[in-house]
Order: sequence, then structure tokens, then C-alpha cells
Amino acid sequence: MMEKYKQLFKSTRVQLCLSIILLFIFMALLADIIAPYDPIEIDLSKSCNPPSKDHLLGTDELGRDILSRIIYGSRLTITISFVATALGATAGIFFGVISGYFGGIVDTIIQRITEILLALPGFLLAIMFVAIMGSNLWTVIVSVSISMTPSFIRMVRGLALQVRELEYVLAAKQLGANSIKIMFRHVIPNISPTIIAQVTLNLGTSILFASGLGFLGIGVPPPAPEWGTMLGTGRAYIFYAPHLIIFPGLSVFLLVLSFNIIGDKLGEIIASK
Amino acid sequence: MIELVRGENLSKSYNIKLSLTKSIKVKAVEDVSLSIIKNEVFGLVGESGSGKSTLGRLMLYMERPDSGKIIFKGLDLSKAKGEEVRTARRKMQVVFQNPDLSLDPRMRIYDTLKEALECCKYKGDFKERMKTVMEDVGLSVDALSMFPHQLSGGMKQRVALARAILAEPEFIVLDEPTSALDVSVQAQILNLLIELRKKLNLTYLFISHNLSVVSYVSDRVGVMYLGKLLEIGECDEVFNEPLHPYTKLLISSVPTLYMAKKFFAQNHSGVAENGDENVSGCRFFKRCPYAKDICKSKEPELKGDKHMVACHFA
Amino acid sequence: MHQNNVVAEVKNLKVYYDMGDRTIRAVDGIDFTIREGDCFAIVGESGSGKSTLGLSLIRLCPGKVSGEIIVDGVDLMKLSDEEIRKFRCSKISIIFQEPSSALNPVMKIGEQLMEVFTVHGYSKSEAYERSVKLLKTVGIPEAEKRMQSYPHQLSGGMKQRVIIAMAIALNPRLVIADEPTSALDVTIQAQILNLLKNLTKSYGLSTILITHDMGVAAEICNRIGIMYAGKMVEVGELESIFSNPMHPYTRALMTCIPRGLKGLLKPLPGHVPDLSNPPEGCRFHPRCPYAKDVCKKEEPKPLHLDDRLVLCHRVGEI
Repeated sequence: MMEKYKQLFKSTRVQLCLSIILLFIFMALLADIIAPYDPIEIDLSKSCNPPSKDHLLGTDELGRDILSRIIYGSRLTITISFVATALGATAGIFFGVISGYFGGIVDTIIQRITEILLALPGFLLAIMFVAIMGSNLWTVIVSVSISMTPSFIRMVRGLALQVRELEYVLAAKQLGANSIKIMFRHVIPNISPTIIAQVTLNLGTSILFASGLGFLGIGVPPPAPEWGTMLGTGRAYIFYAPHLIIFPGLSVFLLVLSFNIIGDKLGEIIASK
Repeated sequence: MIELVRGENLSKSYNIKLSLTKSIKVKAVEDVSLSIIKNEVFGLVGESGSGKSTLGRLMLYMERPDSGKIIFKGLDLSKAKGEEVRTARRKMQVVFQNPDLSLDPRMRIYDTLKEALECCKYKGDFKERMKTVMEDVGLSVDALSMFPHQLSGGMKQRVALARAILAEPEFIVLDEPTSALDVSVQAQILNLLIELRKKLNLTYLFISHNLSVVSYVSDRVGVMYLGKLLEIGECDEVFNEPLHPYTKLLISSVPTLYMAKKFFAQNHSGVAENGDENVSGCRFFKRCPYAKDICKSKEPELKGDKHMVACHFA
Repeated sequence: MHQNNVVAEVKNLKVYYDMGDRTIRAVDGIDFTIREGDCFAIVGESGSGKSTLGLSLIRLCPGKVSGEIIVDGVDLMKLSDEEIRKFRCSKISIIFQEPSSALNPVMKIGEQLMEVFTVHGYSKSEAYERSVKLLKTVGIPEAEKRMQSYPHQLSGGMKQRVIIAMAIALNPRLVIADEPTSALDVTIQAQILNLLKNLTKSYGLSTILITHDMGVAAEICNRIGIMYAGKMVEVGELESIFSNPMHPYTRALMTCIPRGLKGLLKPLPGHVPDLSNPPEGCRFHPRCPYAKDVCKKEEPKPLHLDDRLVLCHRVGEI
């Protein structure tokens, strides 16, 4: 089984994507050391300067260094994407496994609620949540995780339904193993490969969602250097100073693409067995 | 002759959803009574869709019957308390057909067996117990550290058997235990089953579509067709002097190494069809060459003393 | 029967699968001849290479194939892809194990059957007539009505009959049936075997039946070849092999099958070897109760005794 995953790291595409992701994580961790300027220090005399020796990626409308803002922004983006995905996946696995494994009335209730949530586009759900709860880092994280939970529940439930009918689960039941043990020992480990692939894809999607909220002005509030917010405010200067949106946009693009490519490849490997 | 497990008037049907509003009821097992005697091997034969696996699962109390009851050593499981049921079920184990699905692919053999011992709250030394059981099923102790995919099909079936006997069961349902194996390996497993039964005083319900395998291991056999038992009797008697036309058809359909003349099978056509179990008369009526009017209108009962048969003309 | 024309001849056929770090020798030097009207059974356990052999005979095998396959005087190995495509179906055809995956689920039975004819240049009306006639031949009741059915409306046995109809549609010389009844119930199996037997007789077909079941082979075949680990270890007339099996593996296979209540079975120890690294010498020696030193070192040469071919060092001694 391990040999299959080694195959993942052999692909040059995956290696490239992985190094992009690691680069951003590295930036996030060491932001204090490597960022050349304070990301929220305003200097109106330098407003909208194009890239130069002093400011490698230029400055924004308030004269803040874009490179520094992107470096600090990666901290926010990565936190949001990892925490939101972790929350969403945990909730999804929890309700999905319970729903699929036990079936019956529990399943019906969870599924109906899931269906209602699925009827609304995930992004709309996130907007509604932030609109009601107000926007700060935590509401953004929770709203992004809520938007991905229903589809997670669906997927996990389907997988759990398959596994619970498998002979080794039936044999464990006949031996008298209790349901919680069976879930943790047999069900979750055996559906984990698919979950991992889905989680990887969701890491990308959640970045997109978080930046989307920021772009609409309901994300992590300014002056925090969030990529989506940067895009949103930079939009007004698109012809006058395109570097305001090119670089944050490129960051979102690279990171999302990298997660998606790795997730796709993982899915491919799992399906090939 | 002590009775070990008895199923009384068992019925089980499944709803198959065709669309949002439409669904059909498939009667997998319909009003079947079966008594299994301690230390015997009861062979259950039937074609696909006959409900033999469902009956096996009902006897294990793995599935709850829609109606009817299971009595294990005098205890009615439908009325028993949770803990009593759990203890009783532990004494009834199962080995399935597909060796690839019967072991968790992510667990080493050691962990699979450890789980079984934990479930039985085994007090002694796990390693020692595993060692003896592995010897019983003819595996070396080295296999304990392996994953299922490192073992051959026959070896996986041996591990599944080891897991079953770790619980010190009295009754084991063998659901097509050799159907996925090659003939030479099948013979190994069949002999192992016979050996273990003697050594550990086991009782088997042996489910198979393969008549020659069933006749090799069984003391008594039952023949199932579309959810009903059509004939029950001593193995020799049923196979040498079958009373029910369906049993006759089954036996004459088996390809053998002797090129015997098989008039019956060669002049037979027709298949078991979905919905045939819902007719009011005998469910073999459509395919039966001896069918008369009464077969169409009245369902025959399973009659007889030792050799029982459900046919109007037996 | 023995003087009949040769329909197919296979000489030194080898099929290797290249797996990067190792080579799987699924079929390793096999020779046999099929005469007109023959029903030749290839019997072996899983992993013996019997299905690979079947596929390679119509050049559908993904592995590296070498040797000669002469059908009706033509060496299939020398044909171009276009030529082999025409050759399939008209001269040689195959029936697979799983009837449900061999038919297209979204096409009517009739359309699929007629396609066989129209592709080979028949007009539509002629194709229709022939298809109906064919369905009747393979024992499908209400053939005209069935032409309009979709595969899922037919039972497994009926589907297999349709597939047989497609296989014999263009009067091929040779039909290869790869486990045609393994997915079916015994009573249906008996019907299908009976059909194959009758077709062989009335159409003058030659058949290769690939199976793991000695009983099935005994039912309809007149010659039989036993395969083990990529080699044909014994070939001969059915009656003579069954009354006097010479190769220890053939004997073992026959004592492995439960037949009534006749004492304990004598199972063969171990299992089929890994074909990427088969044992040296005779491939059966690790499991053979009669193995001697020579069996471990030297590969046995084919030994022809009358109509029999045996691959064993110890023929006559045991």
C-alpha cells in the first residue's frame, strides 16, 4: 500500500506543487524575519508605486509594501485553509460515519439536514453566516468550514455504507465488538485514503472561499493583509496600477492550483487500486 | 441427539426501491424452519437468489428476522437481553466466501486476531493462544506479522477460520468458504474443516452452491429454492434418492467426471425468475416437468419424518 | 475423427508480460493442434495462464506474444491489425466468462447482433433475418420480441446464449470459450453446456473450452489439455486421460474434486507458483509427491505416447 503513495512523489508535477506549498508555508512561519517591511505601515507618499528595487512587488494605494503583505497574508490564508478544512472534515467524518454506519432514523435526520444545506451553494452559505455573525478571522474560518461540511458528510456516508456491509465488519460484529471500536478500527481507516484526497482538494477550495469573502469585503477585515481583501481593494486601480492585483491574484492561483493538482493525483492513485 | 440451534418460521424480505414511490418486496427467506443438531454438518444448497446466505445470517442472528425466532441452546434470542444475545452470538461464528473481504486490509493478522481475543475478553496470554490457533488452522506463526495482501487466498481463509475459532464457538456458519478458491486449495480447506470439527467439537452450517462439496462434508442437507426449503434429509439419501423434482434437476445438472446419461438436465429449460416466489402454488411449478394443476394452486408443505420434502407428488 | 482436417495449430506459443522490474511468463512454450469438430478443453487453476492463452489466440492479449498460431492455414502472428480484425468473428471468435459485461447495456440485443452482420457487409434486412434465425438456433424463445430487449431484461443464461449467437454468427472455424459458465448457476450451466455441445455437432465448429472445472470439461469435450504454471503438462483424448492420467498434476486435480463420499480428499500441498519466478526444472516439482533430483534440475521434454503428450520425467515409473 505504501508503494502506491511513493508513486505520488515520483511525479514531477506533484514535486513542483509540493514545493510551492512548502514555500508559502515557509513564508507564513517566518513572516516576521523575511518580510522587508511592516505590512500595515501606511506611507501615502509611496502610494501605488510600481515594483522597484526598494519594493520588489511595488506598493498599494496606501503605500504599503505588497511583498510584505503577501508574506504576512500567507499566514492568514494558510491558517484559514488548514483550520477550516480540519473543522469541516472532522464534522463531516463525524456525522457521515454515524449516518452511514448506523443508518435508520439517525441517518434520515442527518441526510435531510445535509440536503437542505446542499441545496444552497456553499459560498452563499458562507456569506450568510458571515453576514449574520459579523466578520472576523474566526467567523471566516467557521463559515468556510460550514460550506464544505455537507458534501463531506455525503461522501463519508457513502463510503461508510459500503464498508459496514463488508465481511470483516460483519465478523467483528459477530464477535461482539462495539460500534465505536468498529468505527475507529475498521471504518475510518479503510475510508481514509479517499478522505485524504478530498481534504487536499478542499484545502484549495477553502483558500478560494476565504479570498472570495475578502474580495467582497466581508472577509477578514482590514488592515489585515488578506489576499482576497487585497484583490478587492486593488480592483479599483486595475488599469492604473495592475500590480496591486496581479501579485495577490497570482498567490491565490498558485496555491489553489497546487492543492488541486496534488488532490487529483491522490484521487487517481486511490482509484487505480 | 441434542439440538444446538433452531430457526422457527423464519421470514425475511428486503425492500428494493425502484423509484421514489415504487418499491418491490423481495422475499429472501419465507417461513423456513430449520433445526441443527449438535456436532453435525448441515449442508445448505441452492442456486443464487435462493436465500441460502440470508438464512445463514438469520441463524447467526446477524440479521433480525421479520418474523420467527432463533433458539440457541434453548435460549430464544428475540426475547433475550442484550448481554445474553452478545454471549450467544459469540458462540456462533462465521466464515465468508470472499477471502479478500473477510480480513481488514489495513490490519496485520496479529491485530485481526487480537481484536477477536479482546472482544471475547480473553484473560490468558494472547500470543500463546494465537500460536495454538494458528497451528490448528495450519499456518506458521510468521504470518501473524503480515498484512492480508501478502497471503494467498487459501491462507486468508485459514486466518478467517482462526479468527472464528478464537472465540471458542460451538456453531460456525460457513458461507461458501471455498467457492473463491482453486480446486487444489479447496480440498485443503475442506479437509481442515473436517479435522477442526472433530478436534474442537464444532457444528457447521455449510452453505454452498456446489453440490459435490456439500455432499463431501455434510451429514444432513437442505435444498433451498426461492426462499423455501424444498427438501431436507440425510446427505446420502438426498443425493442418491432425491424426492423433489428440483433436487433431481440440481443433481443431474452437476458436471461430473463420469459421463453419465443425464436425460433430465438435458431436456430442461427455464430459469428461476424474480416474482416466482410470489405465486400461490409451488414455486418450482413453472420449471417442473411433473407439474399438475394442484401445483399451480396450492403450495406444498415440507412433510416427512427424517427425509422431508415439499412436493405434492413425492 | 482422428483423420479430420487441422483447423488450428499452435507452435511454441509464449506470452510474456513485462512488469518493469520482472517478467511474468504467463504462457511459456505451448504446442497443440485442433482438428475439425474437436472440442478441446484447456483445464487449469487460476494463475496457470489459461486465460492469457485464450486471449493470445485471437491476438487480444496485451503481453508480448511469440510463436506461431496457424488458423485455417493463416499465421495470425503475421497478419496486420486490419487483417486480424476481419479475421476475428469470421474465422475465430471468443466467448467470455461474464455475460453482463460482454454486452453493451444501452443497445438492444437485436442491434448488437445485427451489427456483427452489417460490419461484415450484409444489408440491414438480411442482417435482421439472420439475427432472428440465430437467436432461435441458440434456443431463445420469442426471438423476434427478444431482438427489441435490452441486456438487463435478460437473465444471465439468456445473455450467454446471445453472446454465443454473436460468436457463431459468421460461421467461424474456431470458437474460444473462456469459462463460459462460471458465472452461472448449475442448472443454467447444464443448459449452456448442452447448447455448446449441440452447436459443435451441427455446425461442425471446433471449440476451445477454457475452464477450471474438470467436470465441465468432461461434459462436452473430446480432447483435453492440462495447464500448470504456463505449461501444458498433459494433452490427450478425454477418455484416456480420465482413465489413465499420467502426469502427477492431472492425478492430483482429479483426486482434489469431491465426488460422493469416498474417504478424505488428497489435497495438493502449496499453491500455484509465481509466474515471474517459476521453480527451476519441472515447474510442478515443489508440489509433486514423486519428485526426484532430476525434476529439480532439468525441465522435462515433451513425451509423445500414441495420442498423448506428457511433460514429466517420471512417466512410466509412477
